[in-house]
Amino acid sequence: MRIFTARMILGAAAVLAVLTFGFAAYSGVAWYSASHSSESAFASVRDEALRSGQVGVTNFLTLDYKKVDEDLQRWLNSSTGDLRAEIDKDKDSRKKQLVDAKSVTTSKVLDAAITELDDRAGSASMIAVVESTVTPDGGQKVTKINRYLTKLTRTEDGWKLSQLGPLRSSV
Amino acid sequence: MPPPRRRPIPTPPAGGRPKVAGLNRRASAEPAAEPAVEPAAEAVVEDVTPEAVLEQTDLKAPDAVEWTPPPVKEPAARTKPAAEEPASADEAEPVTGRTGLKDGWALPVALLLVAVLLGGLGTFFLVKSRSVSYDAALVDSATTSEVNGQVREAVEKSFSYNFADVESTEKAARELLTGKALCQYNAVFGPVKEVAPQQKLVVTVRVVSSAVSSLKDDHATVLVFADQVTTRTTDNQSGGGTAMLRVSAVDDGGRWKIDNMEMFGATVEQNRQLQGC
Repeated sequence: MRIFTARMILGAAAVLAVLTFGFAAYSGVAWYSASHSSESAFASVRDEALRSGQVGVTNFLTLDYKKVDEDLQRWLNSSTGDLRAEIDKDKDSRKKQLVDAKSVTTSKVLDAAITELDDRAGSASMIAVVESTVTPDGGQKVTKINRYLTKLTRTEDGWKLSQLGPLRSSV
Repeated sequence: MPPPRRRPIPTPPAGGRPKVAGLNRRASAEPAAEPAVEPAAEAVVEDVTPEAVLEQTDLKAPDAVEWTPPPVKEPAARTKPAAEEPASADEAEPVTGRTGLKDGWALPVALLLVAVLLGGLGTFFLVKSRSVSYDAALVDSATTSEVNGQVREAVEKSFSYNFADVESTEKAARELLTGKALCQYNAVFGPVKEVAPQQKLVVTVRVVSSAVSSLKDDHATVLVFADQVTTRTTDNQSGGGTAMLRVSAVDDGGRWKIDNMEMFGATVEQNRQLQGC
């Protein structure tokens, strides 16, 4: 009698353990597949491109004539392709120009969004609203809000700017 | 999963139905062994009761507890099952025939613990998998371009104005804007509409670029860059301007309508009016 009961208990416990194992396995797989879906992977690529783009744009629109070398290096580090080649090419004339301008520019991205994203090709486009404050040496600072269009390219070190330009008014 | 097994666990399985049944049966078998065992059993019970009472009361019928179960259960609940084995075996030594039963308990209890752990783990996974969410902007490309297109259209139509066809602008605003955006629209566009008839204004708004920055269920946020050309047809004077808007849109029965607008670089006056909404 006793043994029979113990067996029943054992059986019930075993069944319960098997059932809960099945449940845990099922929901574990559900969690894994949900968080590793191609959709969520694409979403994180998009977020990564957006974040890098914002940082890159900020870098490019931040400048201090007192440390031009450092700034230019940062520009090079944030860019790739055409944009980088362009900066690298007229580095010296650009440097002179910046030093002569004697102004300090700081910028901040107010909002930005990815307009296109090709994960396979590793290219993206982003638009951004940027607030820039320009302070001439000994002058009054001026704050302006501008809009930019930038192209991003994925490199081994992450997303970098391959084009950057203001979206000028077409009128 | 070895670690979980050692957890000092969960009373629920220990208090489950099967156990109570087993205990009752043992209590009924008591008289046979009574003479031999009584003193030892009583000592044990007395030792244990003070601490055991608390948890026993809510677990099972008190009468079922009087016998050997407490020593078994008590260490099981208080210490690791591994430590419990030898201790209870020692105590039960004089009582022949009980050892088999106790061995029989170890496996079901362990299985129940495993079941509880797996159940908890499964629930945790399930909750996690439900809460996995990502922003669908660009991911859901069909909806993204639908939102983008409809928001562009809404901005262009409701902010473009021809003095000769006031009705189509008003209709567009009524149909494509909703909630707070209607009030914001009136705040921004009201002054234009006032002077429009006398000056015979033609205002053309064109969206230069736009992108969906967020798309979640039936809510979306779109960044819109627009150009505006205003022509005063009375003297053919034109002026232009640019605008940067963060627009939020809601899916209103298949049509995305603008329900909020924020302007970057708006004038102080515009901001004041927008905030009044």
